[in-house]
Amino acid sequence: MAFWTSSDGSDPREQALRHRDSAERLASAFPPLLVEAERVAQNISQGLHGRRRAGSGEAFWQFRRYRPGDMASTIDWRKSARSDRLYIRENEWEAANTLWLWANPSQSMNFQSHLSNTTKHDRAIVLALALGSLLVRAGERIGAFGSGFPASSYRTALRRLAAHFTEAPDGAEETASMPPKVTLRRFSNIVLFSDFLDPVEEIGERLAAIGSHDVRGHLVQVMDPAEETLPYTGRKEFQEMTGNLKLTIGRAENLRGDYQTRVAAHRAELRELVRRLGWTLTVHHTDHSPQTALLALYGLLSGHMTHAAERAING
Amino acid sequence: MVTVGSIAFLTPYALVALLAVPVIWWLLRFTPPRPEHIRFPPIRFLLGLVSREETPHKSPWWLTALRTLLAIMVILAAANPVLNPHEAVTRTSGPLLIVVDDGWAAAEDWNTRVATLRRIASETERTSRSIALVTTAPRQTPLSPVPGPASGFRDQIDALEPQPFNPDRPALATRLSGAFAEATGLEVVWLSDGLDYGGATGFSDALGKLAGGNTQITVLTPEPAKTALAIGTPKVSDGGIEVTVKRATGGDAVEGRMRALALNGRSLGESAFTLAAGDVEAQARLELPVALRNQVARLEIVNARTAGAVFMLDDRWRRKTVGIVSGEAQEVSQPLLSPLYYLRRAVEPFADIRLTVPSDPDSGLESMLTQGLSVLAMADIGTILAGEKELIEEWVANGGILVRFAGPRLAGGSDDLVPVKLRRGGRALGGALSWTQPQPLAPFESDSPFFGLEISKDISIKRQVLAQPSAELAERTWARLADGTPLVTGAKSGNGLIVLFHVPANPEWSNLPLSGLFVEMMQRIVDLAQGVTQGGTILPSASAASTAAYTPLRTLDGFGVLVDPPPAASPVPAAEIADAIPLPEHPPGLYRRGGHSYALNLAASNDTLTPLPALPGAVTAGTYQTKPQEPVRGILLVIGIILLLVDGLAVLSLSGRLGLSWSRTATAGAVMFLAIALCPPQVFAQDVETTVSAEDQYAMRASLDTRLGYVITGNATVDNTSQAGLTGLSSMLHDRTALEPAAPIGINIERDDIVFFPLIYWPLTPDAKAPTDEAAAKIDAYLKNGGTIFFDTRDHQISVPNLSGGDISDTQKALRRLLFNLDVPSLEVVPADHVLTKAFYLLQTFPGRWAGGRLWVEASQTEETEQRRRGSSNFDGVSSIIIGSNDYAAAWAVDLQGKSLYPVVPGGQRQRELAYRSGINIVMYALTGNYKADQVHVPALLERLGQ
Repeated sequence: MAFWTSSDGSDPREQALRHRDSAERLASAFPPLLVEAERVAQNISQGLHGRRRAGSGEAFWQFRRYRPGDMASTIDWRKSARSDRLYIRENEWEAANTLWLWANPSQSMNFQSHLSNTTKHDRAIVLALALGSLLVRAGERIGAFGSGFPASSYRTALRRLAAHFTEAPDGAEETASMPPKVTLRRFSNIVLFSDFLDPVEEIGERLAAIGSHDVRGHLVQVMDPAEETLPYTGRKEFQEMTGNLKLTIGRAENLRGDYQTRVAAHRAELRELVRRLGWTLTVHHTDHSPQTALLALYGLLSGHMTHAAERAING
Repeated sequence: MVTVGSIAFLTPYALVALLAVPVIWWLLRFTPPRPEHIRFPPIRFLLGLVSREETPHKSPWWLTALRTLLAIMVILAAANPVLNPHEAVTRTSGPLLIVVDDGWAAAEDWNTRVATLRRIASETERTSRSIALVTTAPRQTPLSPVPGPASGFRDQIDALEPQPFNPDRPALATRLSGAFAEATGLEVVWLSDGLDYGGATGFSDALGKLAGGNTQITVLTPEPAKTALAIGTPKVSDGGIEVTVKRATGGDAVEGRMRALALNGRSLGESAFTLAAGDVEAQARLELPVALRNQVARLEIVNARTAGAVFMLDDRWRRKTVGIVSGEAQEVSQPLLSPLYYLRRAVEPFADIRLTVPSDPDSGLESMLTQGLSVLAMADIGTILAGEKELIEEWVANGGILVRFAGPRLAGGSDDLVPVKLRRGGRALGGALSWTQPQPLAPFESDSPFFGLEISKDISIKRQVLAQPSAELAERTWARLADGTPLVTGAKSGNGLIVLFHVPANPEWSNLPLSGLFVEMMQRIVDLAQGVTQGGTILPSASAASTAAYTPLRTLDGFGVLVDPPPAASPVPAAEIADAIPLPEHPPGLYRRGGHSYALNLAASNDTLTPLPALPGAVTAGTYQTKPQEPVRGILLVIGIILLLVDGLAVLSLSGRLGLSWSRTATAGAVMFLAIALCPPQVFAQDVETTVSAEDQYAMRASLDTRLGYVITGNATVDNTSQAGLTGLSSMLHDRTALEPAAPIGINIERDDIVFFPLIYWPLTPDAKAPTDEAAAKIDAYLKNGGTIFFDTRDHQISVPNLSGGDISDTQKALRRLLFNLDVPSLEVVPADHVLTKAFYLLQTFPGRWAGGRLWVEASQTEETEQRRRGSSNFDGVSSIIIGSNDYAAAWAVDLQGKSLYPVVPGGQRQRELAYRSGINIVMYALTGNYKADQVHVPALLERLGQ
């Protein structure tokens, strides 16, 4: 009973349920997301859904005139018998993509300023799960990056994902602000949700390690508006989220300009890094609606970049 | 108690905390306000930037000052400061003697004294001190100087009242001499009235000698401006009353008003007086006509409220009394020939008149004189009896004025109570055998009392008595004839005057008594009188009234209010009244003996007021505190709270949150302002809407649902029955028929529109008024356009209906009145085949509360086309008027639970049921018209169609 009556949301399972619910609500506005897979080889994995092209699959796609070189076993004799020509029965290519999701579990993500309604961590999880939900509905395989579980295309995958995201902060070694050093197989997709506040060199090293094998990645920088603008005035004492580093500032408003310059410089570096890797960077602020970020991701992953998505990506 | 200026600290120990203020300052200086703590992930970005910003380690000086001030305020508030502290009692132990001057002068601000006493009471209540309260004014039973417990002190205070006497301090000193012999120390508080009545210094010395000389005396005196004013003895002069107003010390200028009051308290006049700065006396002059002046019973200083500021006037100041003695006996038979008549008429306007009545020995000359007279007028009495003459001489010597008139008897020989010696016989002027003419009056000389009176030329003297020439004649002559012979002579005799008119007081010898001059001359003479003079000798044979003492009638209390005499007041013997001074046995006031009143005035005993001298020795002087003691603690705490708020704002502004909250506050304020600004017009708009649609609402209510209506008759019982009856009928219709009417509505037939109702039930009362022409027109239009009115005379049990005339009931008369203006078609009793009998139920009778009354409808249409042209019947063939007498509404009436309200007569559930059926039939008839009539023909129609 205590499990269900716990209302403060501290129970990780309940938290996971809550996150999944809000993610489902969020995702319900979108059609299932079919990850663009141009670069995915046919033999990666069998999927349930068609790619609207001929390929290996179960469902009938089209009849085609026999051309020399086609395997004789592909000839549909029944069809061919009706006419003088030989026809080949082609099935639709059905393949599933694998997409790894990761949300930064570190304490740094637990920040929530007065300008926002939610923490960065919550927003990152909701976005990740919404994306996962869309993917699962499309039959794609999703997995939690670094969880050790295989990717799966079933609804349970989403549940497992939610559980992983919400429970992850408990593990002491999991609180690192960097994605785990796991090397992905080729042609995988990965979406990283984090604030990416670490030095860009360190991020670059880690991403290079992940993406060295033809991995396509998307970074979603979830930031609190306060981190962007430093809206504080007067005498303030700033402290690290985890450490003991403290700074007392007499007039916070005096630092605002310099601070914003630094944030912008950091983002420019990050963008440059992503560009080099061929990945994408989406900036999302927690005071904005998660739909915009999801729309942007949808556009990026499905390969149909919309204008709205473009705006969202550029922050 | 520590006193700083006009502020005293009741808990001075708390002030020790002020020593800690520098420490607080130091602590505050090095404890800056805590900054707001923020956990901030991108702190790395701030790292390099922070070094440029200096972090203050100290609070700003003004914030420290603010907080130190706050601390000081709290400390001061804890010390419980009060403004205008009172310190009547200085010691905290030992017996306490309180001396109160409760004479008349203390009444001026008695409340201050009581307040001071109460304060002393509250200060000493919780101590074990013994307190004695003594007063200086003489009392029948003086307060005991034996000290009692402090707890009984308040009761003693409540019993204190100012006395209308001068304080007698030496007497108190004597009473106190034995007290406090065994006490080692004594504190004396003397609540003085600031005046010295003699012996103030001796009294304070006597106080100092109490308790073996170890006394501490505190004298409280009123401020000079508050010292009592006293009134002096008034003087009547030149038609006005002059009053002296006195005070003890010449302080600032004081303006006041003097008021003259009649016996019943009516104000007769006021005049202002000004005590100039430094003066101790001022004159107030009241100008009053004689008639009013004679009514003055009291003079008082307005708002003085002391017995010393009131002066009562008795007979001595009041209306003069004129006694008239006539030697003739013909007054009654021939009044117009009697000198008495003319004298009376001349004196009446300004004086009381006493007449000698021959039949009453008590009203004789003797009793008149002993009661007191101002003027004695004797008309033509030649020789006064020896006994009476002695009386009169005495009285004149005491100040009485004797006015004699000549006449045949006087001319025949006079006594010596005349101003001049007279010749025997008279002098006739203008007689038939005389060459001389009647003489007019010569102008009055300047030393004459009549100087200035206007002489009418019509006055002529035909006869007079003549004075023997003498040396004094000229100076004793007050008026003379044109030829120089004296007409009025007067001479002083003792304190009084003897005046002789050389003519009688009747028009026998002259027409002087007929003239206005005579009245004026008499008035001048009466004005000369010094009040009322009594006969000096009390004869042994005098009546009991003359020896009786003066009994107090009304006396003054300490505040100068006339009250009934206190029990202690006792009569004063007549011989002592002149020397009496006000004492408890005979308080100031009005005393009466017989018809004579005497005013014993307190003011008369105070010639001058002397201020209390500087008292020697260890006497500390003080003044009464009039301002209330005000605690300042609340103000200090409020200042502290304000400082606290300012401090909060300062901390907010230092931490940078003020701007944010300001903008929020401003937004909220703007929103609220907008809301407030926008609200009233909306409310107003709604108001307009409601007022505009009041009529429409009625119309909508009446028309949106089908309803039955009833006419409000003004008789509450009938109206309630109608409402309940139609409600019952409506519910029956709802249950049994397709009609589902809403709640019935009462109709004011004069005001409301009736077109909405298919059927109107109109109960009739005997006093129903005929509708006005407009209402009649409205009803007529309603009937002609298809409406149906169901009149119910409700009187079947009272009289058998007889609509055709003759012996009809009041209700039927009312029905006639109602229908008089309407175009009513001919009526008939519902025939057996009428639609009403089969509109819903098949009925043969239509009972209501009563059974047997018949129902009348329009006569059936024998010539249909003609009927329609006349328009008296509506187009459906429904009778526009239905008249019943069975009190239908009462039969239908139900209460809220649906129970019937009235029994039916003769009774039975069947009759109730039939009553409902009648109602349903009537409603259905009104609504469906001749539909049922057509149904009658259905068999015939079918037959025709079938063929």
